[in-house]
Amino acid sequence: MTIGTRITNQMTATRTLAGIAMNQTKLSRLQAQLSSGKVMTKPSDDPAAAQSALALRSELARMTQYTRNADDGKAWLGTVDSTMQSMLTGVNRVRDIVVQGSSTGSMSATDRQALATEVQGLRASLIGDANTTYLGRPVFGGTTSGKVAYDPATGAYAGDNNVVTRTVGSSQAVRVDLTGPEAFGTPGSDLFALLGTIQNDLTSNTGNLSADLTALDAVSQKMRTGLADVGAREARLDSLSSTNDTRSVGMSASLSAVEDVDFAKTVLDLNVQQASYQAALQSTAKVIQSSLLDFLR
Amino acid sequence: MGAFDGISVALSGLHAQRRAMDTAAQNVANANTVGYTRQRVSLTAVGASTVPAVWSTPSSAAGGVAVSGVLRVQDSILTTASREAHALQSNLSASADALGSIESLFAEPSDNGLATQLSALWSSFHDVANQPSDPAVRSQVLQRATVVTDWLNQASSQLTSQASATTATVGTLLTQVNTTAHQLADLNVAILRAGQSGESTNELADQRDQLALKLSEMVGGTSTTDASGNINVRIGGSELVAGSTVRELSLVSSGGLALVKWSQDGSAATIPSGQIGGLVDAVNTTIPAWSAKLDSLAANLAGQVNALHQSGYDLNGSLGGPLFTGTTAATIKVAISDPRAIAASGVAPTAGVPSLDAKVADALGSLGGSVTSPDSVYRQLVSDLGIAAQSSTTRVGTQSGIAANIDNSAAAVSGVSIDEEMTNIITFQRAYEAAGRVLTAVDATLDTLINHTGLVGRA
Repeated sequence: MTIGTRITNQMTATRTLAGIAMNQTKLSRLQAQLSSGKVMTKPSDDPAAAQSALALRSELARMTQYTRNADDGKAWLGTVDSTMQSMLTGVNRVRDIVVQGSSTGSMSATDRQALATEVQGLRASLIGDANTTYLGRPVFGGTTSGKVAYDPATGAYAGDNNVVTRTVGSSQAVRVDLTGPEAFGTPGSDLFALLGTIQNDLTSNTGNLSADLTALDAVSQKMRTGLADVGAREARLDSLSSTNDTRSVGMSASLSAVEDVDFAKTVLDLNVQQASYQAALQSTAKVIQSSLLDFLR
Repeated sequence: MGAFDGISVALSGLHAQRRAMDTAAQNVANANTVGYTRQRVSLTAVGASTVPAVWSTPSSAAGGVAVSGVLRVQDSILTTASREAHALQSNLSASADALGSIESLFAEPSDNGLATQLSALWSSFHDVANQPSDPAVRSQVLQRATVVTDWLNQASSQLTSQASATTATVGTLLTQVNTTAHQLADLNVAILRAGQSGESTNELADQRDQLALKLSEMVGGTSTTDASGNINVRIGGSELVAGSTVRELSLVSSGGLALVKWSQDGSAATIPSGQIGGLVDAVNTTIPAWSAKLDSLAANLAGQVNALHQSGYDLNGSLGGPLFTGTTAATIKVAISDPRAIAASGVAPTAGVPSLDAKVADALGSLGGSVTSPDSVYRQLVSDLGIAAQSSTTRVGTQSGIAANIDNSAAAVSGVSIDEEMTNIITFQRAYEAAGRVLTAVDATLDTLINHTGLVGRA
């Protein structure tokens, strides 16, 4: 008679223990996933997924920063926009005054002096507007570290010609300022110099007023062009930040798919695992209990 | 054949069955003893003399039964295979543990790992680009840069302390190896002497096998049984145990490396496998490799940031200095303490007046998105480490399965089955009873001969 593989009591015990331990490991892993809500706790759980999760997280952090940059840019452009609009109202008033002053017949010297005084006041107020700041920086001053874009006393340009940009996407930078010369003309022949000339011409050199009017219209046209440019850039920022938002949502979803537990599936797995664990325990209880000793007298 | 032969035959049966039952009892008693090999009585029928003498009258072959020995039931191929499998298992599991410890430094993906800290650093550069003159925003760059350098310093020092802790473990284990080797050599001597005086060596042999297994688990190597029954252990081609002699091993720690040497002559010992092999490999190869990767990450970070930073101008109008000093993970530090010294501007100052341009800050903020960024170097590092740890763990799992299978096969041969022993005991008990009955029968026969023969006609 041949006997097959001998099975000893210790073998049964060892195998059973190993099986139960494996069941417990799987159970505890599933439970850890459910309680933390994350599939991975260390890179070796799934190296490829860990790499994508890291890449997505860093991309999401960049998107958040781009949105912050865009918000800051919008505030700059908004400041430039509203300042320019209110300045245009002032420029229009000056135009009215110049037209009024050009009518040679009906104006007395006193009337002209009054008009000149009003232009002087308007000039000071427009220079004040041109020195509007956002977070302490003059928005028409380029990248100057000074407090003003135009000298309040002389109206001379005090800024520089460097541009201010905001990065709102990978290699997508948008200009968020308008330098003084771009908005109000070349220093020396810009809006504020012209206003000085007009103030002078109103009282002493009325013959030049028609030429002044042409120059004022040119400056006004330049300001409108600048304003349109600012509006277009605001629109671009809006569109870019909405694109960023859409991408962020998409990436958050991808990140969640990589990192987060699929609850329905995991709970189901847990139940299956629990059932097999209990089966292992029950069968162990039955197998290990009995031996030949139970049946010998 | 003599008249009393039956008695001695029955007596030899009684003796033999008793001995067999004793052996079964020993097996049952050791059913749960680790390393115990079941024993079996080897019975031999005693026949007539093989060399007939002139006056002998061999009318029958019945000479009873003799116990020729108590054998250990063991498969020596499985024993050797088990030692090798366990050596490899301990080796792989030591390597996997080392990688697991390294991996715990890089607990990614998480909200406070280096990846998150780097993203925060880049964001703070963008914030400076948005508000170049705000000192609060500038100090945030310095703080976040310090968090990054602190992380690198700490990771590096943890790797160093892991290496020294592992080296200390190797030292402790080598002491155990030497002790175990001496015990094995002592048993070699004891078994040889006991065998010469005819005593049973089974239990001593079990102990010796256990020691050989323990040595394999620690240092690997090969163990062979020589002609006189000694177990000799060789590692890396040199003898650790040869009969009664032992060559001790010792640890020399130099330059952060763990070197195992033969104490006798100070020559280098090769530890082919086992736990010590895995640990030495971790100290000498694995940990330095990951440490070097951390260093190259630190160098990459410092190099890229400094190159840009030094091309810019700070808030005082001076050309920027390096933001980081040091090019290894252990030595990297933030070199600047004054927030104004962060070079954000790409435009030189005009007539001594610094510009609030922020091209350099913007470029620094966008560093994280490039293909060669420190972020992507770090991601690659984490992913490589994950793959290494994963494959290492998988190998341990596979090897544990192999070792368990071999152990199982060995247990199938050598292990005690209580059912089997019970069956044997019944068999021997019955045979003992039968031998007793034979004795009674012989006795009755002799009674007839002695007491009831020659009484014909007696009243």
